[in-house]
Amino acid sequence: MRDLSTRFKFHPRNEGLASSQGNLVPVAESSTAKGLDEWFYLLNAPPESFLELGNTQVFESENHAQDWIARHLPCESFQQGMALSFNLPFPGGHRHNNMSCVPADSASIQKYIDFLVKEIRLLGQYFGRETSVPYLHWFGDVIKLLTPAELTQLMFHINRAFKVLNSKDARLVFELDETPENDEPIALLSGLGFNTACINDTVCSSETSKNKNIRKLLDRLRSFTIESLFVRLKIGNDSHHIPKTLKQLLADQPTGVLLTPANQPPTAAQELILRQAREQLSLAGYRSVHKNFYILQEVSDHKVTHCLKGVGLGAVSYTKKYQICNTPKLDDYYSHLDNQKLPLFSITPLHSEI
Amino acid sequence: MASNQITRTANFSLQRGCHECSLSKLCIPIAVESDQIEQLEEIIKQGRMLSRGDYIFEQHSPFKSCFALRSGAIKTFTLSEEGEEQVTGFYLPGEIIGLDSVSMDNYSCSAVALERTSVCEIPLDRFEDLSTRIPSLQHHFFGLLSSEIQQSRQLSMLLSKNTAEERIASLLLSLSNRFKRRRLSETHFKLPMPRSDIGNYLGLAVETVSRVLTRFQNQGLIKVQGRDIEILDLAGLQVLLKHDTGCIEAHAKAGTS
Repeated sequence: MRDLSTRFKFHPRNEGLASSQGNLVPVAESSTAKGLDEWFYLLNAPPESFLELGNTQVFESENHAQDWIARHLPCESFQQGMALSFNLPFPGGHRHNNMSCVPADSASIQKYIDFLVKEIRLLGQYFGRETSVPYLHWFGDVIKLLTPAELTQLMFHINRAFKVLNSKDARLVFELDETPENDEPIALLSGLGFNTACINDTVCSSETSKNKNIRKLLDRLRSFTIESLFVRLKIGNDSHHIPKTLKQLLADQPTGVLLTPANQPPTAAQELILRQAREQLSLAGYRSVHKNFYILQEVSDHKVTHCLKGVGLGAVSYTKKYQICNTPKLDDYYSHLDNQKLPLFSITPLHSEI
Repeated sequence: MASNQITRTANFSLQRGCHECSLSKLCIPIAVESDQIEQLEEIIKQGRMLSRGDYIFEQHSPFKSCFALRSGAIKTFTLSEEGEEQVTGFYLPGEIIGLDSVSMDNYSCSAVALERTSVCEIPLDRFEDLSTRIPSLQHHFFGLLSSEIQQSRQLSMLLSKNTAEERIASLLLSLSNRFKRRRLSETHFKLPMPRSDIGNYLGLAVETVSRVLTRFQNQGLIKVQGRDIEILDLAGLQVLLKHDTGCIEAHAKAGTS
């Protein structure tokens, strides 16, 4: 299988793209190739055809976008099973370079949540209640950014709009940037059906005491039946603690480990640490799914390739033939949904089919 | 005194609206402004009385409404295919039942009155319509729902990991918090359920429940006489819990925004 780093290119939307009806606009090469180490793309691989992107067309108007949807968007590819991902563009959260940010006050956040619900409802009407969702992913630190009521509100409407699968093969994923202070948010996520946690490198540390906390966190998550646990370790030039950290971590057998070098390409020092870490993982019974991503031998490669519907401001979607982006501007996002229109901004054709 | 009591009884109306209800600060009305309560009262069916053993709803029956408990006590339970009853919760005045079934077609459990009880019925379709016009109501509803989900999950954790003492201490502290929320005594209350239901709920034999309560009494933590409980050492009960008090807090938060 080709290395994901050469397979996948993601282009954040460029505000300067001109649009003219029917004309295709060249894609601006992104300064950072996004997605290489995004959990989402490791756990739910994009279609094989997501190798090279064609020229991007920006929609001139809402009606232009809706006409395109009606003519081109292949509904059937979503109805066979759809992955959902959610963008939370709050300060400190996960967002692209040119994306608006939702102000951090509770009223603005609640307003954004209410509009996410509008988009979910619209998608449910468009794709149909019987559309199954075997994969669901919350980017960023959902526990930190959403209140329990907001998270429950979103999951309630997602379950109403679609058939969110609760089987063992289904993945409902959340990311953790911080260790929760108590068990309440974990209990809630577990109760809402989440079964996979991705622990990001802000939680891991060179300090032994903090590593003990990681192990306790793994225990806490497992006690609430969140059993698929993936850990990211960031490799910097001074990350000489990584072998020791990794050794302690592997004693608890996380489902998978992702090594993220701080530089692309990695420096010589980082490459040395990476080599050591890869060897440790192999010896501990982990196998390489991707160059820096290892999972337990006995765990099946749970990469579920489904067409993705990104939800939220600036969200990215893809079908077999297209990459589709939501508008990155907050006002446009709200006005589209107020007019009962999907908030699409642009489409980029993929070169070949799956 | 007697004539005052009779007067108070005569004035008590089961049809008293939300704006007059003594539980309005705990129940749904807490989420709306005073000028919006009328809209709430239009959709809520108030004052349904039940005797002990009466069903509020039955497992697998079509889901229509949640219910706010106005007085009395309710237990919820499921029945297995073999007919075995599993108690899933106890509810006190100011709390809402049926939340666990809101995203389903049918009720996931049955609810039965443990004593003379009155409930207010909240038809969910009308409630949702109203919530779209009153956003604070919607947010409060999802706050209730999230508390219910958390509580349920934390109870599962409690039952899987904790000792009998910890489970019973957790229940007593939960009840204490819930009575306190209603501005009743947090240290002196009557258990609304028999020991057999407590045992079923906590996954313990009824003899174990009795034994632990006696042990707590001998340790000076509580005084127990029948269903009357007096907590003598609240802090001492809390110390018994090794894990965080999330389960108790979830109980305490149930019914509030």
